[in-house]
Amino acid sequence: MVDTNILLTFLSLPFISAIAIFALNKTAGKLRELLSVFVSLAVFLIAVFIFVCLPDGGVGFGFNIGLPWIVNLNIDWLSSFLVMLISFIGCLAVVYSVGYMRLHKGLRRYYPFLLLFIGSMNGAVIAGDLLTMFFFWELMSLFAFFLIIFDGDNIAVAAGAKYLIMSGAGSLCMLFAIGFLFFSQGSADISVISGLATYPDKTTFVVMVLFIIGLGVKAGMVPLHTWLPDAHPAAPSPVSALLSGVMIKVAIYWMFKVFILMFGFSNIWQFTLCALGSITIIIGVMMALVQSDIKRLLAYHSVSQIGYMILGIGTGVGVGMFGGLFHLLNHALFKGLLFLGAGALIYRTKTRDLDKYGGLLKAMPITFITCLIAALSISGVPPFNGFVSKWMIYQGVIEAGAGHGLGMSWGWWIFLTAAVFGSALTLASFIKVIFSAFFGEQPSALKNLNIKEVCASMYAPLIILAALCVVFGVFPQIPLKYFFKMGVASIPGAVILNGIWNPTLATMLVLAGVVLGVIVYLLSSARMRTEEIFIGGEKLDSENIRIPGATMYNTIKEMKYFSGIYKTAAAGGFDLYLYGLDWARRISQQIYFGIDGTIDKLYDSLGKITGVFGGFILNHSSKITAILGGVLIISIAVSSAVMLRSAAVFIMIFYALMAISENRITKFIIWCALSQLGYAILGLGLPQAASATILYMATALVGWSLMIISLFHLRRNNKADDINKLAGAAERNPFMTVIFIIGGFGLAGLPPLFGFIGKFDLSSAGLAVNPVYSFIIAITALLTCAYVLKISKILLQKD
Amino acid sequence: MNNLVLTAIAVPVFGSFLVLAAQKYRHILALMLVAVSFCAALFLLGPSLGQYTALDLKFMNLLNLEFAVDGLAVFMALCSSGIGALIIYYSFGYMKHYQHLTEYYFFIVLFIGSMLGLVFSANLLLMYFFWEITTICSWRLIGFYRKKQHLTNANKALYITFFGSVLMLIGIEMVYHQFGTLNLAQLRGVDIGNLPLLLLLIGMLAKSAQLPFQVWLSAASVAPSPVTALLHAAVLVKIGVYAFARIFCWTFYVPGQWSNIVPVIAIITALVSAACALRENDIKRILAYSTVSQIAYIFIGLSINTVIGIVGGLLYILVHGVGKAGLFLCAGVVEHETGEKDIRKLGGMAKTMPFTSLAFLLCALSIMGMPPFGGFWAKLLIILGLIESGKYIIAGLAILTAIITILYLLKFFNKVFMGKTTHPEIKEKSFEMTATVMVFAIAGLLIGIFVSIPLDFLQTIAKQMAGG
Repeated sequence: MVDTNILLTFLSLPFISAIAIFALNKTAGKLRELLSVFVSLAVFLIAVFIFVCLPDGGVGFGFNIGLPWIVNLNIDWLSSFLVMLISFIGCLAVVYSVGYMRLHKGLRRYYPFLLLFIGSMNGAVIAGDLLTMFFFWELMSLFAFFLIIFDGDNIAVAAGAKYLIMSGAGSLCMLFAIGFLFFSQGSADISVISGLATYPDKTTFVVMVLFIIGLGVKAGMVPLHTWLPDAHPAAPSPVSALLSGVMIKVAIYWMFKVFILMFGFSNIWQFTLCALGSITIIIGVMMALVQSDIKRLLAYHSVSQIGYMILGIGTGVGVGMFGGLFHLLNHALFKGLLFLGAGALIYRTKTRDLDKYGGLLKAMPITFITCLIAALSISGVPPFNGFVSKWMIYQGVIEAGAGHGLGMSWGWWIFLTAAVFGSALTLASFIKVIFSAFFGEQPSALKNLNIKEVCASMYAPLIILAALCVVFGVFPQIPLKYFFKMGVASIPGAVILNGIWNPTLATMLVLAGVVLGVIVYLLSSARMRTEEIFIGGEKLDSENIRIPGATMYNTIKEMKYFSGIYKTAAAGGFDLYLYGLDWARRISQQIYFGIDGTIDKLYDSLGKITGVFGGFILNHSSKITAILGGVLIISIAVSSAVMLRSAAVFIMIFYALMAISENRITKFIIWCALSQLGYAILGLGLPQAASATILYMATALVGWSLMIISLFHLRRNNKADDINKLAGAAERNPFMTVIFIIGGFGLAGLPPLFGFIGKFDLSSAGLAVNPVYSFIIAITALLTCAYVLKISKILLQKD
Repeated sequence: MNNLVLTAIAVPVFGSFLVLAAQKYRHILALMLVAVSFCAALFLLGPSLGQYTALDLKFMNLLNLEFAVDGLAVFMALCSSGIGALIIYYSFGYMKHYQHLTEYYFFIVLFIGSMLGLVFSANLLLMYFFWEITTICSWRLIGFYRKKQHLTNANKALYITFFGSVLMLIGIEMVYHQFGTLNLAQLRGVDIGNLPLLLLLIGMLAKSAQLPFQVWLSAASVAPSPVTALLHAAVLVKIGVYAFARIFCWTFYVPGQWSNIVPVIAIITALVSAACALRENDIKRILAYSTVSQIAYIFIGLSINTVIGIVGGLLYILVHGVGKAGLFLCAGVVEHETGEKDIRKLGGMAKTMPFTSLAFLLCALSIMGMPPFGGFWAKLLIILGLIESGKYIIAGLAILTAIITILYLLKFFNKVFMGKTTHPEIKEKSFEMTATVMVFAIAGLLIGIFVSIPLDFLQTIAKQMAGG
C-alpha cells in the first residue's frame, strides 16, 4: 500500500543521500559511484513499487509546515508513471556516468547534483498543488543549472545562465498565474482548482498565456526553445540525456494537467496548442538538419519532438492525447539513448563535430546498432516505438479536424502535414548523422586515437534503452495497456485506434521477409564484384575522397530563401533571449546615465549652486550685514514679531551660506556665530520660546566654543589662516579634529550631541506658530552641516 | 527581561568607549561586546513572542528613555547583532594591515549598539536619537580610508540621509504637537494626517536609499568591505525598513492610499537600480545597486500590509542581510587579495579561491530567489502578497526585477569566478574571512531549508502588526 512514509522516502532519498555522498572522503571514488548507482536504483525500485501498488484514483497527502498553503503531494496514474520513467532514465544516466565521467574532475559534486536533479524532478511531478510544484520546479532548474555549468568554462556558465534566466523568467510568469489562482480559488490544490470557465474570458486568457509561457520555456517550445541548443553541448552527455529525456517532459506533464485536467480547455486553446506544436516540429527539425555539432543537432530534435507532444495534447481528443503521452515515454527512451550514444562517440573521439567523425561502424558496433535503432525510432519508422505514438498523434489530429472545432476544421490538414513532413525531415537528418558517424573511412585524426567500443557501464544503458524501443514498437499494447490503464477514465473521449495496423503481426511479416531474403541470398551463388575506382593511376589518400556527412544538407542551407533565415538563426537573430539581453543592456544604459546619473548630478549641482550663491553673498557681506541689521533694529523698534522672525530667518540662512563659502578661519568663526545668533533672534520672535531659546543659545555657545578652540589651535599649529591649508591636519592633530567635529555636529543638531534638544525645542515652538519656521530651521541645520562637513573633509583628507 | 534589553543596548553603546582604551585586544573586545548583545537578544526571543512589554526609565520629559520588547524588535535585533558580530570577525582578517583600527572598531561597535537602541526604542524621538548616531558612525566609516573622493562620498551619504532625517524630525514635532506624546504604544492606531506621514516616509526612504535618494549608497561602496557589508546587510539601510515596519505598519493608522504610493516608489526604485546594477562594472557598486533594489522588495512587502506581505518583507530582512553580507564579504576577499574592482579585469577566481566562489554562488542564489535558499521564500511571499492585494502590475514589475537580478548576479559570477584565471598567484589567505563567508552562505541555505522556523515566528509578529 502506498502511504505517506513511502512517498516521503521516495521523495527525500535522493536529497539525503546526495548530502551523504557529498560528505564522503575526496578519495572514495569507487564508493561514491557505487552508492550513487545504488541510490538511483533504489529510487527506481520504489517508483516501480508505487506504480504497481497504487490504488485506483491515486493517493494524496497534505502537510502544514507553516507556509500560507498546505503542501500537497499527490500521486495518480500519470504521475506515478512519470516518476517511474524519470527514475529509470535517471538510474541509467548514473550507471552511464560511472564510465563516461571517469576522467573528469569534480565528481564529488557531480553525483550529488545528479541525484538532487532526479529528486527534484520527481518532486515537481508528484506535487499536488501548484505552489509546491513551483518550489520543486525552480529547484529542478537550479540543479539542472549546476549540471550544465559542470565544466566551469565561460561558455558553459553562459549557457547555464541562459537556461536559468529563461526558465526563471518563464516560471516567474507562471508564478503570477499560480498566485492568481491561489487567491481567487482559495487554494492551490489541483484537485480543488477547477471550473475555471466561470472566469471572464479575459482572465482565463491571461492565466493560460502565462502558463503556456512558463511551461513552454521548460519544454523547449518554439520560440522559447533557444536555451536547449546551448545547454546541451555544454552539459555532460548523461546530463543531456536527463535534460532532454525527462526534464522537458515534466513540462509536458504539467501542460497536460493544467490544460486538460484543470481548465478543460476550449477550442481556441486547442487550435493555439496545435499551431504551436506544429511550428515547433517544423522549426526544430529544420534547424537540426543543418547542424554539425552532434549535441546541438540532437537538442534541436528534442525541440521538434516536443512539438509532437504539444500537438498531441492540443488535439484534445483521446487518441491524440494518449499519443502525446506515449510519445513522451518513447521520446524519453530514444532521446536518452541518442544522447548516451552521442556521449559514447564524444568519449572516444573527444569531439562533438560531425565532420570529424567517420567509419566508426567496425570500431563501435554496439553504439552503431543502438543508435541506428534510436534514429529509426525517432523518425517514426515502423516497427519501432516512435512510429506507434506518431501514428496515434496523426489520428488525433484527423479526429480533431472531424470535430469541427474553431479553426481545426481547416487547420487539421496543415498540422497533419507539418507532423508527417517533420517525421520525414527527422529521418533525413538522422541519415546524415548515421552516415557521417559510422560509415565511410575513419579520418586520420581518429585513426591515431585507436578507437574501441566503450565500457560495459556505458553500453549497458544503450542496450537496455534500444531493447525497450524495439519492444514498445513491436508490442505497443504493453505500455498502452499497463502504463496508461488508469488514465482512460480521466481523459475525455474514448481511445479508438483507427486503421488496420497490427504492429506485432507486421513485425513478424517484416522479419519473415528478412529471413527469406537471407535464405535466398545464401542459396544463390551470386558473388559480389568489387572494382577499384578509376583514378587515372594517381594514388589518392583516403582523407581526400572522404565525403563528410555534415555537409549533406548544405543545399538546403544555401537555398534561395532559406539561406538568409539560416544565417540569421545561426547569428541568434530569432533568439528571444538575445533580444531580451540586448534590450536590457540598452535600457539599463539609458537608466544608468539618464536616471541614476541625473539624480547624482542633481545633488552635485545643488551643492555647487549653494556654493556659488554663498560666494555671491560673501562678496556683498557688508551690505547684507547693514541691511539685516537695519531691519532688525526697526523690527525691535516697532516690536513686530513677524518682522523680527523674518529678519532672523534671513540672518540664519545668509550667514550660514557665507560660512560655507568662507575660507578664512577667523571670518568663518564670525559668520558661524552670526548664523547661530539668528536662531536666538528667531526664538525671541516666537511666543513661549524663552526657555527653548536659552537652552539653544547655551548649546550653540558650547558648540561654537569647541569650534573656536579647535580651529584656532589648528591655525596656530599649521601657521595658516586659510582653511584649505589645514588639509590632512587630522593626522597631526587628531584630538583637535575630534573636538572640531564634535562641536560642529553639535551645532548642526545631530544627536547624540548637545545641540539636538535645543533645536528640537526651538523647532517645536516654531511649528506652533507656522510650520515654515520648522522647515527654515531644518534648512539652516543642513547648511550648518554643510560647512562642518566641508571643513572636516579638509581636515581628514590624506591625499 | 528589562535587564536583558538594557544589556543588549548599553553593552555595545557604552562598551564602544572601552574599545578606545583597549589597545592590543580592541578587535576581540569589539567582537565580545556585540556578541553579548546578540546573546541578550537571543534570551529575549522566548519571552518576547506575541506580547509587547514596555520599559520606562523616566529620564527626561521629552527624550524619555522608553524601550519596548516585542517580536519585531527582537527579530531585528537578532539580525543586526548576529550579522554584525560575524562581520566584525571578518574584519580581523580584512582590516589587519590598516591604520586607525581603534577608530574603526569604536565606530563599528557604536554603530551596532545604536542600531539595537533604535530597534528597542518605544519613543519616536529616542528612535531619532539613535538614528542619527548611526548616521555619524556611517559617515566616518564610509570615509575611513580618508582619501579625498572617499570623504566626498561619505559627506554625500551623511548629507542625503541627514536631509531625510531633518524632515523626519519635523514630522515627529508635528506628531508631538498634535498628541503631546511620542510614546509609540500610546500613539498606536492614531491618524496623524498625511503631511507628517510623508515627512516620516522621506526620512525612511533616504535612510534606505530609495529613489530619489539612492545615489549615496552606491557612492558609499568606497568604504572597506566589512563596512559596506555592515551598511547594506545589518544596520544602515535596514533602519529605514525597520522604521517603516515599526511606524507605518505597527504604530499609526495609515490611510489606504499609502499602500498604493509606497509600492510604486519602491518598484520604480527596484527597476532603476536593477538596471544600474546590470550596467555597472565595479564589483562593489553592482552589489550596492542590488541592495537598493532588494530593499525596495522589503518596502513593497511591508507596505501592502497583509500578513503574507509582512511575513515576506520581514523574512527578506533576514535573508537579504545574510545573503548580501556574504556577497559583499566575498567581493571583499576578491578585492582585498587582487586589488582589482573591475569585473572586466577579473576572472577564474574559482580556481584560486574555491571557498569564496562557492560562498558567493550560494549567497547569490539566495538573493536571486532560488529554492531551497531563503530568498526564494521571501520573494515568493512578497509576490504572492502583491497578487493577493490585487496589485498585478507591480507584481509583474517585481517579477521583471527578479529576472534582472538573476541576470546581473550570474554575469558577476561568470565574469569574476569563471573562465580564465587573471590572478593565478593569489590565495585565500585569511581563515577568518573564508570562514565568515562560508558561514553566511550556509546560513542562507539553512534558513531556506528550515524555513518553517522563522516563518512561525514571523507569522505571529505579522498578525500583531496587521491586526493593530
